[in-house]
This record gives sequence, structure tokens and C-alpha cells, in this order.
Amino acid sequence: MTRTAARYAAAAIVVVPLLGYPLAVRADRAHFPSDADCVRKAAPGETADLDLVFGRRSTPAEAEELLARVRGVGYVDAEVRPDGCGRWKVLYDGITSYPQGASSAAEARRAGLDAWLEIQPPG
Amino acid sequence: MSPGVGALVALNLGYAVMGTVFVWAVRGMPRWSDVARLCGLGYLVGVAAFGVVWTELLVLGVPFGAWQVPATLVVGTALSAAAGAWRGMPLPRGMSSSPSGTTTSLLVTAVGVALVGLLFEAFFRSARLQSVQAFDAWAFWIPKAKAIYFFGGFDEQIFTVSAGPTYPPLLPILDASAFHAMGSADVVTLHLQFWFLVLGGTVAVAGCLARHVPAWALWPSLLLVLTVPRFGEELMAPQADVLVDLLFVVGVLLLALWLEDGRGWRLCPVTLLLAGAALTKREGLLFAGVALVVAFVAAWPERRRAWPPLAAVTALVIVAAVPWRLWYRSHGIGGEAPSDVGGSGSADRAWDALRLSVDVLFDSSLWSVLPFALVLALAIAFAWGSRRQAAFLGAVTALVLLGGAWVTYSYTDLAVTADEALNPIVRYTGAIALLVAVAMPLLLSSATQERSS
Repeated sequence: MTRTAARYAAAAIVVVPLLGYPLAVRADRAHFPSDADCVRKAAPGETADLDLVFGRRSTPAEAEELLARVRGVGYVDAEVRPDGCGRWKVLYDGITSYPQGASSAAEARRAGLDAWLEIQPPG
Repeated sequence: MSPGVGALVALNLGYAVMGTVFVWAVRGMPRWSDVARLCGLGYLVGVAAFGVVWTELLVLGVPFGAWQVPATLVVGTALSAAAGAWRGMPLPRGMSSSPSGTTTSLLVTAVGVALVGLLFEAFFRSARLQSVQAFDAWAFWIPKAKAIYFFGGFDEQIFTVSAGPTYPPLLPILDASAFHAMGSADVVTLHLQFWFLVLGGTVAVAGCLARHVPAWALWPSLLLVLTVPRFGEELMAPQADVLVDLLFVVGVLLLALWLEDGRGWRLCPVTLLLAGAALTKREGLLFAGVALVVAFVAAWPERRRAWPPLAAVTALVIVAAVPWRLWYRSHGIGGEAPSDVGGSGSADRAWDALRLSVDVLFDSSLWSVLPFALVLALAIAFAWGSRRQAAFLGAVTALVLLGGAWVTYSYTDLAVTADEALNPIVRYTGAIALLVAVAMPLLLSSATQERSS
């Protein structure tokens, strides 16, 4: 094998698996961790502890802006918390049941907010 | 790519540039291939330099904020560049003109790079969205980092009341820098900072060894070390254990090479790496002491030439390590040495502590075959290779092992057990396991006489 051919072969040995592995894993539908992993929307009738979530933002400053809007609508006990996947969520954690939460979410949507119910993270 | 990940990439690139320019200033890098080979060492040097400088500045009360991070990296890079220019170091030009090694070694290197690369892709997957699970991480490493991030310094309450008040602050400073880069105290994405540290350490070991050992000795050793069961679990934990081990091990590697070739530039990064280790964990001071004491003894035949620079390194490491110790003492915190240095301990406890250290080191469920491979490599090198190198690396390993036994023996509140909730001996022993990554290739290649330089 000539030196040039060896260099091409070496480059292929490095590049092919490094690109091929993530593609193969993706094709195999193996899950890559994503920030959506921390969003666990509640199905109707959910009996676990619930939060009313108004949105997620990439930085605390953006989340504080959303919080101000949410509080302005009347959710004065809403707060900002890290969501465990690198984002910051604005939520209200005083939900006691799915029907009450669904009613609050509908009310928030009528006030122009994007709100939904999520299962509280453990701990 | 999320903004936090991009910011971490930029921050770590900053460490690498600053440290690589420093290495260029003290060594020179005639070719871009030298830059590629030594950028891992440069990265670790940059991390250590940043952490050491900011430890001293925070002790002096200089506030640590968002703009100070890039400013430090820019000023550090500029100072190193000025020093390099003043010393007349030429800028890198072109790639290596004379390809070194055989076709076989090129292909073995390619396979090694591919396999290590695949491993790091997998590490990235697991590190990308990890929560803070390790006890010490959420008990004090990350709270201290948050204190530096939110309050701009060593907040007296958190630094004196939280667990481990004598633990040095280099890692919390790095974490706080990452928080500033990301724009928030994002403890999830923070795990990627540890991915960068391990990657940088691996590239540093590979780059420093590449021209001294054959590819067949280097890459299998690196892969073996990276894939032992213990590292699979703990490599990305946001604690200081792996960082202190990396700084120590690369420092020992440079000392081993310096003992062989006497090239003085190696002692400049050694100084920063060992000072960084001494400011990363309490045992970092012990590791640095072991490395330097053994180097003094190993350099005995050339003591007229070798001891003065080694003494300078030792003095600088001490000078770097002292201010933090003065800070916590001035805040009423007891010293990091055990209250009972062992004088009143029983012989039974000493024996049990030693046996525990040996048992943990040879626990194959933690370190696989690493310790056995190290013993074999030492024996082969003593028989057919460089006895001096074998003696140096063997003595460092033995003293670190004995140091672990001394820790268990002398801190009488530690139970004599491998249970990590009660005794840190397993984390401590990681230093020896990582040392195998540099010791095995050096020892085996010395035995087969295949080192190219």
C-alpha cells in the first residue's frame, strides 16, 4: 500500500464509523436525549400530581419575561423552575386534580396564554 | 445545537487556545501537526491556568463575573503570545514534512482514533441530559459553583458551612465559568463540561505519547482505561475526582518524559498541571508531592542539572497552593490534614487500611484488568526495558497507593470500607487507574525498544 493510499484508508477508518454510528443509531430509532424528555403532558383523567405549565424558555431572563406576563393575567403564584433538561419553565403548582387543572388551563388559554397540564417531575 | 451547548464549546475552545499558545510559547510548534498533537495538553494547561489564576484572584477578593471569563482567556492568550514572540518562537507552518511511522502504525492510529471517537460519541449521549446524582456534587461542588456564579466570589456562608469546606475551589470556578458562558446555572448541560474535560485529557495523553510510543501500545491502553466499569459510571459526574486525576496523570507523564530527554519546556506545563491538581482536590496536593518527590529521587544522577528547575516547580506549586489554605484558615476552618495524623492509630487499623487500598485497586469489578496490566508492564520494563522509567512510574503508583492507605488510617472518622458513602478510597484509586493509560504504553514500548524519539 502506498503512503497516499494508506492516508486515505486511515481517513476512511476514522470518518466512516464516526459518521456512521450516529446515523445507524438514528436509523435504529434509538432515542437520543432531547429537551423534550422533560415534557410529560398529562392525559385526561391523570391522577398523578400535576403542574399547570405556561411554557419553557432557554434562559432564566426569557422565563422571567414570560412569568411577568403570566402573573399579569392573574396567576400571581406562578414561578420559574429549571425543568431538568436545560430549560426553564413557568408553572403554577397549586393544581389539586385533573378537572381543576383542565379548567385552569382553559381559562389561561382564553386569556391568551399557552398553557397545559404536566405530570410533576419526581422529587 | 442549543445555545448552552454552543456556549460551552466556545468556552472550552477558549481554554484550548490559551493553553496551546502557552505551550507554543515555551516549546515552539514548527508545524500545524504539532499544534494538533499538543492541543489536548494545551487544553488541560489552559483549564489549570484559568483555575489557578482565579483561585488566587478570588482569595484576594477580585469579583468573578460574566465578562471576566472571556477577558481572562484573551489576556492569558495575549500574554503567552507576547512571551512566545519575545522568545522568537516561529509560527507553525504546514503539516509534518516527513511522515513518521509505518503504514501499519498509521492504520492502527486511525483505528484507535475511530474507537475512542465512538466512545466519546456514546459518552456525549449519556452526558447530554444528566441530572445531578452524585452526592458530593449536589452537597457542595455545585452549591459552591453557584455561590461563585451568583455572588461573584467565595461567599462566606456557603464556603464555610457547606460540606467539605477545605476542598479547593478550582472545580467550582470552572463550573461557574460554564454557568456564565451558558447564561444560567444550568446543572444539566453542565455535565457536558465534564465531557470536554475527559476528552481534553484523553487527547492530551494521546498527543504527548504519540511520538514516544508505538501506536499498538498507545491506543489499546487508552481504550482499556476508558472502558473499565468504574469510568463508565463516573467519568462525567460533576465532581473533582476525574479532573484531579487527569491533571496529575498528565503531569506525571511529562515528568517521565522529562527524565528521559531532559527537555526543560516540559516543566512549565508540569508546574501548571500540578498546581491545578493541588487546587482541585485535597489529595491533589498529595499527588503533586508524590510526583515531585519521586522525580527528585529519579533525577539524582543528574541532580546538578535537574534539581534546580525541579525545585522551582515545587516552589511555584506551593506558592499557588498556599493562598487558598490561608483563606479558609482565616475563616476559622480547620486544616485539611487529619486531626490525628496516625500517631495514635493502631497497627491493626494501618494493616486494614493498606489491605483496603490493595483490595480496591485489584477489584476487577471496578478497574477490570488495569492493575494486573500495570504490574505486568512494570515487570516487563524492569526485565527488558527502561528500569529508570519503571522505577519512576512504579514508585509513583506505590506512593499513591500508600497515600490512600494513609488517608483511611489517619482520618479516624473514615470507616475501613469501600462503601463510597463512608470512605472515598474508590474515587481516590481512580488516579492509579488513569495512570495506567500513560504508564503501560511507556513501559511496554521501552521494553520493545520501539520508541522513535
